[in-house]
Parts: sequence; C-alpha cells; structure tokens
Amino acid sequence: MAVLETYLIYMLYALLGALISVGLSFIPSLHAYNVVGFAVVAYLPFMDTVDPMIPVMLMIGITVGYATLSTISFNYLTIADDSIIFYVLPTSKYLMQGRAHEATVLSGIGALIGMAYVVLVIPLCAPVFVILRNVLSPFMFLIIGFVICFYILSEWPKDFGVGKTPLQRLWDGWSTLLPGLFTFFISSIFGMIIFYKTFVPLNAAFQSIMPAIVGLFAVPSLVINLISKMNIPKQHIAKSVDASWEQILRGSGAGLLGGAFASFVPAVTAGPASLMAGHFTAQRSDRMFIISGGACRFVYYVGAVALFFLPGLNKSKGGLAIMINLFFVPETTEQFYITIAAIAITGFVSFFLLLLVSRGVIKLLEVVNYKYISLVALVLIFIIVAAMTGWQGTLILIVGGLIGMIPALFHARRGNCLAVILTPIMLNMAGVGPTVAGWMGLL
Amino acid sequence: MAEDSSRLQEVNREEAKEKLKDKLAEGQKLFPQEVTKEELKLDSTINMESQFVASEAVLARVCPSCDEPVTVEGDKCNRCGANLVTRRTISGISLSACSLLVVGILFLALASVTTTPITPIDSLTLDDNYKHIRIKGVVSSVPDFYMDKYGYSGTLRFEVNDTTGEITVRSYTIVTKRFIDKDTLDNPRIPGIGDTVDVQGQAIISETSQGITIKSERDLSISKREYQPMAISVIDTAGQYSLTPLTLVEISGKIIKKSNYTSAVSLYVEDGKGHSANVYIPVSVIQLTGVGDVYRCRVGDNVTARGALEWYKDHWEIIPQTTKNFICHAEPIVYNKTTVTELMANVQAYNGKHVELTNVVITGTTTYTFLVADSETSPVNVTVYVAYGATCTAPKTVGQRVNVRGIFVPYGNSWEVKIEAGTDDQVVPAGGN
Repeated sequence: MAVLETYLIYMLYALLGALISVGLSFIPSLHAYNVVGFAVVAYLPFMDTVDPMIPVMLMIGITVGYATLSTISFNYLTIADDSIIFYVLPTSKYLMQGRAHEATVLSGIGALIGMAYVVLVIPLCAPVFVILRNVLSPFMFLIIGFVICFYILSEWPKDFGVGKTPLQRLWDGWSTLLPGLFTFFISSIFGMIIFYKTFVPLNAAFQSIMPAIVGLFAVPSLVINLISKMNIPKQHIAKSVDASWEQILRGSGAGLLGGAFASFVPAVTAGPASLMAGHFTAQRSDRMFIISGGACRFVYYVGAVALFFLPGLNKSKGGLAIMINLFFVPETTEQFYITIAAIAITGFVSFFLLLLVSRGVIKLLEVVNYKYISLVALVLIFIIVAAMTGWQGTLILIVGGLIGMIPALFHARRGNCLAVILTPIMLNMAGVGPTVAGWMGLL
Repeated sequence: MAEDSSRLQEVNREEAKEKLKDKLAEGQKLFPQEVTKEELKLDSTINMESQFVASEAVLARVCPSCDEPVTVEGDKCNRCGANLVTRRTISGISLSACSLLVVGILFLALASVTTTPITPIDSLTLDDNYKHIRIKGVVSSVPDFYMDKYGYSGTLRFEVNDTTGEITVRSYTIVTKRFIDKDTLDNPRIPGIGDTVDVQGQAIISETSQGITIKSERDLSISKREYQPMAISVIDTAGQYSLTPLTLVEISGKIIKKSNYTSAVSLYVEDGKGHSANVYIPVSVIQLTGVGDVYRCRVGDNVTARGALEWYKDHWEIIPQTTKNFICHAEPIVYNKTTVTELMANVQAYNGKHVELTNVVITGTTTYTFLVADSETSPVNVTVYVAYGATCTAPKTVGQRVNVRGIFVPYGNSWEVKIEAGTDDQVVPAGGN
C-alpha cells in the first residue's frame, strides 16, 4: 500500500506540472525550462527532507504539458508578417483562414503519436539506444558538423534574383542569405562567449544559456507581434480535421525521426531536426508539416527525459535532464517505469487540456488583442530572466534579442541563431573548443 | 439486373434530392456526411464518401474547417482548400488517446513489481563500477560514524558479508540523517553488527576495493531482529568455537563494572552466581541511535542487554545494534532541591544523592571546577566539577547565576557536586540568561 501511495503522489505531482504548463501555453515564447529552473531553485533548500522524485515528477509534468500545449501560443500568438506568412508558416496560414483550432488538433495528433513512441518504443528498444550511444559517441562532433552544414546549405536557393542589372539580381539573390550567414557567424561568437566567459552569477550558472536562447528566439517573435499590422480573423472550432491516415502516418513518421534524432544528438534541437526529417521524407503538405512538428517537439523534449532515465544509458541531453541531474541521478528500472507512466498519464491529460485551452484562447482573442498578450509576455520574459540571472542575464537577453532581430527583419531563417549552442558544442566535442576560445581571447 | 439497379439508384436519388430541398428551405446547413443513409435511402453499394446526392446539395455545403460556404463542386473547400470528405473526427482521436492512460497504469503496475536482482559480491567486476546493484548479507562489523562539522549527521559505514565476499557500504549526510531520524526499535533503520540487511546502491569498484553507496533511505532494509535469551554463564564459560559469532542474544543481570572509554562504554553484567558477560557499546552506536540508558546506568543497576556475540581476545562480548536494546531497570534519577548552605550543613545526608541547586552564584573558578554559593555574600561554598562531555552551557564567570544539577560526592578531604556526561546533570544559566 505504501508503494501505491507513493506512486499516486508522484502522478499527482506530474499532473500538477501539466496544469502549470497550461499557464505557460498562453504566454508566447515563454519556455518550460524557464519555469522548471525556478522549481529546481525552490527544491534545493528541501533536498534533505523531500523525496527527489517529487520535483522530478513535477518537472516532467511541466515538460510533457509544455511539449503538447506549446503549440497553442505558436499557432495563435506568433504572427508572421504578411510577406512570409504563406511561405514559411503553415500554422499562420491556418490562423488566417480561421482554422487555428484545427492546426492545434493536428499538432496534438503528432504529439499523441510522439507519446506513443516515447512510452512504447523507447522501453522496448532500450538496448538499441545503448548500442547507438556506444557506437556514435566518438563521432558526435562530426554529426553536429554535418547538421550545421545541412542547415546552412538547405537555405539555398531562396530568392531568384529579380532586378534589372546583374548587380541588382545578385544582391536580390543574396539579400536574405547574407544576413542568415551573418546571423550564424555572430551567434557562434555569442555562443563561445557564453560558454567560456559567461558573467551570469554563479548561483544561476545552470541557467547561463537561458537568457541567450530566450533573447535570440522569444524576443524577436514578440517584437514582430507588436509591430505587425495583421488582425486575427474569427476562428472556427472544428469537430473534425482535414487529414488522411496516410498523411498522419507520414507526418508523424517524419516527426518521430526528427525528434528521436534531436533527443539523442547533443546541441540539435527540434527545429533543425524537423527540417532534416522533412527533407529526408520529402514532406510537401502543410498538414504533414504540422503533425510532424507536433511529434518532433514532443519526442525532442520528452524523449530526452526518457532516455535520461533509461537504465544503462542515462543520457543527459536537453535542459530538463541537465537540471534534474543537478540533484538526482536515476539508477533503477523502477524509476524508469515510473517516469514512463508519468509521461503516458500526463500526456493523456495534456491532450485534453490542449483541446480545452485552444477553445479558451479563441475566446480570449475575441476579447483581448494579441498585441497586449505579446506585450505582457515580453515583460514577463524580462522579469523571469532578471529574477533568475540578474542584470547580467538581462544584458545577455538584450544582446540576443538584437541578434535575433536580424533574421526576423531580413527574412532569413531564424534557426541560424542556433549556432549559439551548435558551434561551441561541436568544437568542444571535437576537442578544439578551448583552442578556438583561446584564439578569441576568451581564455 | 444492372438496369434495374441503376433505375433504383435514380429513384433513390430523386427522393433524396427532394428531402434535401426541404432541408435547404428550412435554412439548414448540410454536409454530405451529416445526411444519413436512412434519409438518402441510398443503396449500400454506393460509396457515401465519394458521392454527392444532388447538385443543389453540393451548392449548400459548408466547410467544416473554416465554417464558410463551399460554392464549387468537388471535395475541397474553395476558400481554405480543406478536404471535405476525408477527415478524422476529434472525438475519435480523443478516444484513441485513452489508450495512453491504460499504458501508464500498466507501467505503474510494472514498476511496483520490478526489483533489482541480488548480485553475489564475488561476481562484481570493474565493469560494474557506478552501476546500481543490490546485495543481501550480514553486517559483519560495528558501523563507523564520521560526524560532519555541523554535528547533526555524517557518513555511515559498515561491512556486509554475503558468504561469497565482503563489501563496504556507505551512506552520506542526507541519507544518514534520514536513517537517524526514522530509526525506531520496531523499525530499525541503522544497521548494527549481526543484522541481516538488503541494500541497494551505486557500486564503487576499483582494483583494490569494493563498495556500495546508498542513495536513498528506501534502499536499505534490515531484517527483524530475533534475539535468543542466553544465560550469562554460557557466555562466560564458552570457548572461541563454542558459540557462533554474530548470534543475536539477550542477557539480564546487574552491572558490576562500568568503564567509559573514548571509543566505547564497556560494562560487565553479572548473573548473581559469579558469572559475568561483557557488554560493549561503541560510541558510534550511541551517536547513531541515541544515548538511551547507557550513561545513566550505574554499578549495581539491573540491566537487560541485546546484541550480537563477538569474540574479542579471550572472551565473548555482546555488542548491541542500538542503545534502545540496552535497558536499565533502575529508577530514574530524582534530584533533591536544596541550597548550598543546607547541602554543606548535611553532607552525610546528601552523600551520593542527586541534588539540584537553583539560582546560585559562581564565586570562583579554577581550570576544571568552580565554586558556587547561595549569594555573593554567603560564606558557604561548594565545588562543582563538570566531567568531560557533561552539559554545561553557563559561562564560567564570577557573578554568573546558574542552576546546577549533579551528584553530591566526597572528593579528597572535601565535597563536590559532580556533573556527569550522558545524564540529566547540567549547569545552565539561571532564568535562561
């Protein structure tokens, strides 16, 4: 009975985490890891008395909820400008057609399939992951290098050189690529500085990369929202979604592939992984893209945690695993099964929360302009970063925000900002990180 | 037959068209899949998902995705491009999500029956380093306790023997504190020599040593201690090979000798027939399980002691796993409240008795003792001697008011109030100041 009581308490905390993530879903660009960081800080004084699995369950619940529900803010509250809206973001297209709820459900379908992968495939294929880790470990830096090359090269060709003179056509062809390359370069330098010479306070060192990531990705999105002139049309709450089984399977397959890759390879996040998987599986449809995104995001965030708990592997990849590792090291098969159970049960609840919250956001947007929500989110982000990392982190946030605005304003791929973690980690894994840092005068 | 079938379809279509016209006249929005088979009276061989009933019905469709009228033929919305026919219902998807709940419960059930297999100590290799392992065996040494600088916890270390080998088990501050806090007589959490334990933890294996580090208090379980009563004469007369080491025994008798060492308290307990047994209580056991009756018991007191047998030099000794298994049957100490003047006027009456002096003043100090009197002007003083480890929280300064509890005993040609360690004896500031 004591065991059942313990498990019930664990599940309740996981569900509490999922409920907390509902609040996050309303705030565009706010990441679960920002909130999870606070949970870690809050737990540390009670390490002597509180079972460490309790905060772990809470953090897993927040992450599962976020992985499922983050699509809400992405679908409803991330507004692309009119020049790229139909080109880059299918979910923005759906939003403008009044189909954001349908896009949300499609993303939820992808997340459901991601949940099935995490709770069924990872436990059954545990030895495969151990073998993969042992085989691939010496070559990780190469894999990351290839990811970087693909990411840069896949942006070409983009613009087709419209202009009267050859020089004008040349400039037109490079007008978005050059800022993208510049963003990649300057993000790499930014990342090296953060990795080797960060001035975030020592007590917040475990969140030293957070201000940079938030600045590079969240701030530009919110600023674009604020300056955008778009109005969100009335949204329809559909009872069915436009998707065939083939599209669901192909989309989720690509998403699983990308998410599994991202959850395994250091520094690679869901975005580039999803892009690579989309190319690999020749994705063409908006529906498949959305489903793929939902699956990829879920497997990336939650799959990484499952791999962290996998006995014999204990791979510490992703912000959540790193933060849990500060106070807890999973060791037993029992802990792994409890984690999988928490993911399954919380995932089940999160899907229904997704449907509810989507309806709630539609009602909210009928009353409140999305610009006000974006403004509140921007202020909240600054407060969270300042509270966690002080004025030093806020400064990093501002610098990151300025860098992140470059691709946003020049219509380059925002993923180039990922160089902030890709480049330093690749160099470190290749063993030349300190050398390069020395050349830069950081050591 | 084929002609009849197609004529039947034509009739059915006409009927359906009429029904739809009626519905349209009522202002109802229709979607082909919302029109039931019964309403259409379609032949079952016709695929409902690919057929439209009437051209007028086509014009009255509403896109289920964007909720706008569809004004063209075909199965796609002309506004948003959504497929009007091939769709998945959200309720169906929600139902399939319920399978996750089932999977979650199954994994919880699996977790409840999952156990780490027991590993024989002699099978551990360097490859097992840092792995989570489980061993079962007997604690073969008195636990060591290395207190940390804060004084409330520390490192617990003991050896476990499972007949194939021996391994050192350790727990560090946080886990040890949990063991100490939760240790009771009925549910022991501090292992003692002779205990059968089941312990899990992280293996620390090197070429020269093997160990386990306990990471959680749930990873150690101690089997119920079953003590067998044994006569003191049996223990006293047994040779080295006559009894089994680490056997759990219980004895009763009177203390005839008590020695306080820095590492242990050693008592000799006699059965009244000339036989005695040595009860050896290590300081680590006292630190881990509490003082209990160890210090308050005196020569002449009747005690009951439970512990494990261990051969030491030329005799058997009994080592308790916990001080809770050492019970002194003497009455609790009663302190006689008195004054310094009365005490020194009736020294024989108070000889050997516990006394309590309230609100007396320190009138002089030496290296190990100080003098107290009822007041600064009182000519009658008594010496107070604070033994090593005894409770003395009052500053030893002349003029300080103190409350004193101790035993009144002769010392040399004089008398003193002796404050003993591990008892309720104490010297504290009077009134809490």
